[in-house]
Amino acid sequence: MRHLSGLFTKTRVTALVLVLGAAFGPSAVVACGSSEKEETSVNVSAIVFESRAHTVIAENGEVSVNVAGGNGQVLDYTRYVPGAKLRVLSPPRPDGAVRNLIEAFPQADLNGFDVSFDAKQVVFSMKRDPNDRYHIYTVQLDTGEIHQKTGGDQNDITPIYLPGGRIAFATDQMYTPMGTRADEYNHSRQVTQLATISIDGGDADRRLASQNLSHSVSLFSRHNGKIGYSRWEHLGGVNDVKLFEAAPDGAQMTAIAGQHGKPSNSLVNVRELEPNVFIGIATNRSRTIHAGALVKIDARNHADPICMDAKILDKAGHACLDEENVQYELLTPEVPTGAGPSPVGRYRTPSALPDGRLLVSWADGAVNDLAEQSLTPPNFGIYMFDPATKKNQLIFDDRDMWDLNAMAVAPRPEPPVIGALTARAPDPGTPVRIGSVDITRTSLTDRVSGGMFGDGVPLNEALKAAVKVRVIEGFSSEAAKGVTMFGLTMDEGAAILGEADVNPDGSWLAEIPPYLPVHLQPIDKFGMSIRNQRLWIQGMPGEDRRCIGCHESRTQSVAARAGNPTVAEQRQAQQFLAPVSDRAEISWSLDRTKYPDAKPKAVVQDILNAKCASCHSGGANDPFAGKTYSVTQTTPGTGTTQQYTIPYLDLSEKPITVVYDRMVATYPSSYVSLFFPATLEMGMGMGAAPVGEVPPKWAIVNDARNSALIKKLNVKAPDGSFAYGNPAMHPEDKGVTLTDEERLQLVRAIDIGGQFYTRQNTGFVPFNDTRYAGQAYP
Amino acid sequence: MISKTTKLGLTVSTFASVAFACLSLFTPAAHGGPAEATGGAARMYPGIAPDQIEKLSSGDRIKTVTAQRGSMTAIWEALEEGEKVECLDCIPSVEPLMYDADPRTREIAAWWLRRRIFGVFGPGEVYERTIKRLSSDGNPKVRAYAAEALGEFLLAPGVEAVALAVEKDPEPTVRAAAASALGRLNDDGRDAITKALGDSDPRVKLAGLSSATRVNSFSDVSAVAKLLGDGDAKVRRRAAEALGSMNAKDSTAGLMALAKNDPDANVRNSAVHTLGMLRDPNARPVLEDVAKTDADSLVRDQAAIALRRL
Repeated sequence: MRHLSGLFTKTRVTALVLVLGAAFGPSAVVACGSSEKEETSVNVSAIVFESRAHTVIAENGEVSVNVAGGNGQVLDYTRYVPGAKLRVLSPPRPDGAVRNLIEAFPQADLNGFDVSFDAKQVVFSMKRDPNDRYHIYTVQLDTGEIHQKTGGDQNDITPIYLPGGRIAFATDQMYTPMGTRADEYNHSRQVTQLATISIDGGDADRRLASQNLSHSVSLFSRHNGKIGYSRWEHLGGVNDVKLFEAAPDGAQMTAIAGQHGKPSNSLVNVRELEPNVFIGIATNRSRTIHAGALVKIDARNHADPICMDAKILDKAGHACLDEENVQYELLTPEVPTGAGPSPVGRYRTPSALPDGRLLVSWADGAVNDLAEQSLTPPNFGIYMFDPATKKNQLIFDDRDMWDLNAMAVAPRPEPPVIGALTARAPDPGTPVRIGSVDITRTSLTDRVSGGMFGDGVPLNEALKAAVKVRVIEGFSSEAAKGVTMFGLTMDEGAAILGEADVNPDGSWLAEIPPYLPVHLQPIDKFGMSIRNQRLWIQGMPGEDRRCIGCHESRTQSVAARAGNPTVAEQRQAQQFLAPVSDRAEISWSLDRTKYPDAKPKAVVQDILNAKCASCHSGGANDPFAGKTYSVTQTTPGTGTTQQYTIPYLDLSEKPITVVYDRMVATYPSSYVSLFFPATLEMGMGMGAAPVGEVPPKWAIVNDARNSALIKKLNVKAPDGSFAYGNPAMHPEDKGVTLTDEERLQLVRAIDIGGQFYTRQNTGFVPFNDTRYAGQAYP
Repeated sequence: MISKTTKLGLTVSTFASVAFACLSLFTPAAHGGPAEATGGAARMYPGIAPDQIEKLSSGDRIKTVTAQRGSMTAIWEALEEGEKVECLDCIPSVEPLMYDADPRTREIAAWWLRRRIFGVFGPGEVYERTIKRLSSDGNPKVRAYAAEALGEFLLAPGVEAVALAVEKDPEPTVRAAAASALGRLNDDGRDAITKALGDSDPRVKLAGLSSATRVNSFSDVSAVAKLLGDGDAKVRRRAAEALGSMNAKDSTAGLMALAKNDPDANVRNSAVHTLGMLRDPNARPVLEDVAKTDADSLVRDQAAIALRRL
């Protein structure tokens, strides 16, 4: 096998430019085009970049092109193609001298690197051969001496230097008793999390950060000594990539851009230009090889002149990061920020030169799925992009490889060292404190409707009705054996850690297990969610993650309503520290054949069987007896059809028609009856146009207050008031009584995501060996 | 990854590809507009901004891209965003993708199919056909892909089928695919992983090792430790790493022997790293020796780091 060498020539590029030029006119091509004849002056003595292979020719002449492997994800850490080079170009111009720092590893692939603050060393991620994993290495730029810093059965990628002699990176290391986080939405692939090592100690000083349910990738150094990174956020209907930061010890994970609008679905490959001003790539997560438009991201607090004055270095006491009002400037407006074909190529991995110009990787052509299968993969070369002229100037282009991630070899100021916000060697059993000073404080402008809020009220009004805050743990398929999905919902697995009391001053306080991703729902006196937080939050052992309100303004100081300490602090934090097996999970049903040993604590179907199914299972008392709708499958070619019938409302556990050998767990009629109408609405029924009367949306995930089922049942609060104004309650009107707790379970089941599966109804057991001994996940 | 055999005429095929690509610029393949892409999700998840909301495919788009069998990533995206698209008519065109040459296409096809309520799990439908293919198809590649698909389906009947394949299938690639599937199913298949570790073919052993570290209920450390003496360096290397993941403290002796004597530097590297993970003070003399004398500088690096962990 050999790597591609000299296979692709300029002919390819010329052909593409010619055709594109015909399509879009020459000006479009010229706008982002390159000029190899212009003299390049980068004003640094050298640059470093990685050249990654994409094409391999086997001994038998078979050509394999791997452009897209891994690009269905946010990152391509599994896209291994041998033959990468870590190159130094000095001087940085087309005729500069090139040397490969990893010459000794001809089978290697790279996955990110960084230049040290003193510009004497490079840290990089390398997979040395097909049977290796990506691990962290350093190389001295003067001597070429390479040292391995991490090893083992995991991938460590995209390293960056941190102040104080540490290195941060992303890893797919398994470190929960459930296994590596595995986003079910991402086909259960191992999720990458943040970790750090020391330069000297490598794995001996390895520390792991708290967890997200989806990938954390594309790390960059923050001016304040923190770790910046792109985070894939998947929580129910949310699916995007935002910018986050975390302290070097993994604490204080907070959004810095992208949570309140951005010009694309994903922000990746970001570097910080000056405090709270970034350069990065705006793109679509899929089909773009993570290439897109250059975007300048300004997250400064424009209302504070101190924050805007670059000459004032000491900004202590000023909230200079305004993540809620981030300004975006697309520097290359012709480049799509979606997945469509680009008329002018696409960019990757920008970084700043000392004079403000940008080093970028740029490839001509569509740079999306149109190029992935041809023998003309996009050709990324290194260019200097001048924001003033919008032109690229060629610095280096190996036409057989992707040249990426160029960085100047120039000293840069080392950010301040942030002391550990939590203990240096934290007891993993130490809880995290979460809470609010006053939950009614919010800068959000949502409206809340349904139930006690009728046609709708502003969120800040609705929050005054909050009596509790529901704390919901999230997990994915790593924690629910055999789960094919969590149900007819986009939501992940969920467990309620607890519902904290909101005190008269709006404060609440709770202690939860560390590391776990959670999200919050303020709830009204009927137990119904007022708002579903759409961002995972998490904390390190002993970390304090209290907020002011329910997403309050981050640039304004807000005092507690009745001064400090809050009522919640005076009353001590509520303890939500139950072990995994005792957490409040709401299982819809239990397949005793498949999971004979499972012992779920709360089963919705048990309530329905006892109180509802006698009238809602097609019998004589059933008002909807015999009423169904159907969807039909037609097999192309044969024209044969298969019809599936769905009951209008059947609350029994009778399995819906699909059964395989009585072994496959199927959904009971109750679950399909209640959630399928909303599913049809979500997919707009395409391809499965139902025949017959589709019932109302009995159950809408995350939205019990607008679900027809809950409206029909009605809910009575402890003060005697009714959620929907009138006192009519069902099934009490038919002589059957639902207890308050049973009613609340139905509300909760819908509000936390309408999941069918839990850990408890899938017989989950942690790893049964000692590999996590000493890691107390309460 | 896609593979195309090409002996000559690269320029012609290249230009053809480019021409196709550019033609496609003007004939976007059944892409929904923004409203179609988020409309249903926006109705069910109100209040989520357009840049954050889950996009949705349509049944028409799934059928179009899967029928064209052109762009891999377009297929992946259409199916991924079709998670909640109940499209019965799509099933016949998605099922063949479980046998596509591209492993990620196979994977996402099974991922999409297993999320269907109707049309997949009934008698004679996709799932049943997949089990039958694993047990009886004459083409070992089809059997291997069927085993992979059963792993992706994550359903209990698949455990029995792939466990049987690990034990009985005559083709090593099928046994390896079945052993990998057990890892996805998070099930040891009634000792099938142990059987895979004892297989004669290194590909099956490697697949078994990978699954051994992923299956919660697997704890047969001795079966993994035996592979420290395997004739294949790749197997020894992976076994050493697996013992670290399994926190197999009683395997120190075997790892020390590898660290000192294995002819393959990659094996020594992994053995030394695992000794550091296990933090057994008995390994100190060996690690000190390796840190000073090993011929490979990366092994010496790992030994120095391992010593700091003791």
